[in-house]
Amino acid sequence: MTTQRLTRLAAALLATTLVGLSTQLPLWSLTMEAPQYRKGLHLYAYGTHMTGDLRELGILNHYIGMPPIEAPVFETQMFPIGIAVLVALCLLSPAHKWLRRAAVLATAAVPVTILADLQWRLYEFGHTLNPKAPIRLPAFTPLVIGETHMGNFESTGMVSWGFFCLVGAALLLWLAGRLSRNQLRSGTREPSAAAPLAAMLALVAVWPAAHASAQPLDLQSRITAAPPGSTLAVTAGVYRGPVVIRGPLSVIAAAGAIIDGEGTGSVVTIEGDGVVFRGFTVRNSGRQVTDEAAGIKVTGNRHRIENNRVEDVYFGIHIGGGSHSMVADNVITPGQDHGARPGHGISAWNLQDAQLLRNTIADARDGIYLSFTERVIVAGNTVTKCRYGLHSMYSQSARFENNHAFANLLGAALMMSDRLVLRGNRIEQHRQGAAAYGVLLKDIGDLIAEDNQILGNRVGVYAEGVPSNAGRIATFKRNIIAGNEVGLALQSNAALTVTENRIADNLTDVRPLGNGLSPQMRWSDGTTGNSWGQYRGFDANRDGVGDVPYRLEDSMDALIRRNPLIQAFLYTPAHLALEAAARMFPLYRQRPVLVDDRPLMNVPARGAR
Amino acid sequence: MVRFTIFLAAMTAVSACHRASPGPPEIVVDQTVCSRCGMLISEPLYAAAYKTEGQAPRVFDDIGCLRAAARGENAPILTWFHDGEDRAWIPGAGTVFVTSTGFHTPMGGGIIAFRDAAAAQRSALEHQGQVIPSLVELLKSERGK
Repeated sequence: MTTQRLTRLAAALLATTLVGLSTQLPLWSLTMEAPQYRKGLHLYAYGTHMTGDLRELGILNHYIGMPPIEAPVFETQMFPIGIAVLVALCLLSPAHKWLRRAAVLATAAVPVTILADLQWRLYEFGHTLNPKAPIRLPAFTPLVIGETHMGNFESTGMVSWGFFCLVGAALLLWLAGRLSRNQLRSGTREPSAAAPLAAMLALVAVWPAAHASAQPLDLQSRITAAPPGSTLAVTAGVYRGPVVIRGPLSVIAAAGAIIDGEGTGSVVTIEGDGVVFRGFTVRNSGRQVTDEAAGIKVTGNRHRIENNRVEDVYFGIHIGGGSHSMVADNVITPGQDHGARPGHGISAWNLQDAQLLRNTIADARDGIYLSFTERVIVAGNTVTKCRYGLHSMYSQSARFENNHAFANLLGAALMMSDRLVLRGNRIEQHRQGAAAYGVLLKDIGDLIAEDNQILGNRVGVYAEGVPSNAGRIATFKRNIIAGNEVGLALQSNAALTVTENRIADNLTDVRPLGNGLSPQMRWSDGTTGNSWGQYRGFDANRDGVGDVPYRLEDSMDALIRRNPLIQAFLYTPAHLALEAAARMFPLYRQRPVLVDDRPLMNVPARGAR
Repeated sequence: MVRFTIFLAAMTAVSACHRASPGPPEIVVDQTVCSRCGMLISEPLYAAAYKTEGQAPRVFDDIGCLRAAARGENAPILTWFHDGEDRAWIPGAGTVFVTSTGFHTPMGGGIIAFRDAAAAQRSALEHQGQVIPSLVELLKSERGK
């Protein structure tokens, strides 16, 4: 192969690489500086989309009546076609001089066209101001290259790496053509000055590529280009967030694929219907409370968010609206790198018919938070080191099943909600802070709480205003409530039906609060009561039910309620003497806290895991 | 005369100290409990407090909780909120509020307080909310989702 041919071929390949690289790099950038934005606001224009502080710029534009900044539809659709044509021309350029000239012309024309188009768009932006805007400015034209002053803002437009790649490609093809022609004229076919020049050009070409490889990769353009309903496989690497995925689309990551939000807004936003998002590590969202920035922010229906790791974010996964989505098998630790509890692990707001399954959550405010939801299933999740493990507010027909909440400030807070099911959960070791309850029930309508293990909390179950309305039923069945300082702490407006539970080994099994237990509290359903650790009765007819009622007469607890310091005397001889006196002399006998007419002799079977 | 002036100044200072408005109560995140709903206060931005003469201060995790509790008070109340911009305690007098369904506050009140009316206006525009110009108007307003 001759030197001329080699030079042309090398130039063609390098030019193709540069053209390809231009699709991954910003073509143009705009920086706006003002005293109130010390770090400035940035806008980056790629061939197919725009990134940067679009939200803040949109708000500012709103004040001066400028339309919101969006990537123009026509240009973003034409860009991939233009790139495909350029790549074809570059690859064909060694074949004939006219093809090479066409490639040079086309490759040079694209960046010039982009600049002209951008300038026209900027002119349009500055000359279509809404006259009813809160702040009125005279029409102006931001410069595509250079500085422009608007109010107290100074904007600086400048071409960027993608643009240089296109210019470099055109230059490379042109120089290769010139070199080949000079070699032909001089008649030499031996290596000449062309070789070092080609090497230098190669270096120039490779440098942006090396620079780009150190930068986060662009995933958004691939997602934008993916046809609806397709599956996009993403290889390992660090990808730049924020990323917006509009369904239907499946985005599946190989091990080691990371999306980094660079501390701004939500890292991944899922919209539309039918997105599958699986296998990523998502990290580093914004941390503004009112922005509700999340690792993964979801709207729309029928999404599946599975097997992701979400860390160092405000909310882990925030689902606002929609239905029939599933969030499963994710590991979510919003505050791991900060030692604080930022937003919730999974926050669901205004969501219907969804499933939150088998997620592992730590270091969040609330592990799983439901607000204004309907028919959401929360099952098989593990939650620890959060404020509240499970939390329902204003939600209807939620089911919490087979979850494990341990060592949070509070295990499960069910408040202002209706038709709830709490089944088969293990809720334990909530012992720190002002509200160290295993289960907090407040103003709940219908409730079924069964087969749960509520163990080792300061207060196992606290109930207030349950059920919240007449005609509603709150049942506690087949639960184990054991090893807590107080098993059940019940306000006088709590009217639960408590049957078939094992209530044992608590310092105090049942503590009435306020004006004593409600007369509507039911400790048996007429045939079956509860298994009490302190029951000392007998069962002559062997029907499994004690022949004498269980009377909880806790003289010591009555004293503790009057003076908490008396707790120091628990299980001392003084305590035992008081209990003995109460048994032997009716004079010391307190009115019973509760009477269970059908106490169980054996520990009832349970279905909790 | 000099002694009398010093005495007057000292008495004025004592009197001023005596009449000085009490400051807002302390809130310890994830430890202080809302006086109305019983939830732990975890986000100071949404937290508020009020005090009536001779009573201990009441703290709330949500401005909506304060609004509901304050409606039951007959005595004048001294209120404090957190500024939506710098999150510092601000007195209720002169505070402007923004209510929006976009604010997912602990009890669904959806209200944030602002020291600066322009900041409130910006926030309302940003979150498609409404500005409530004063505490009096806030207490009259209905609970939003």
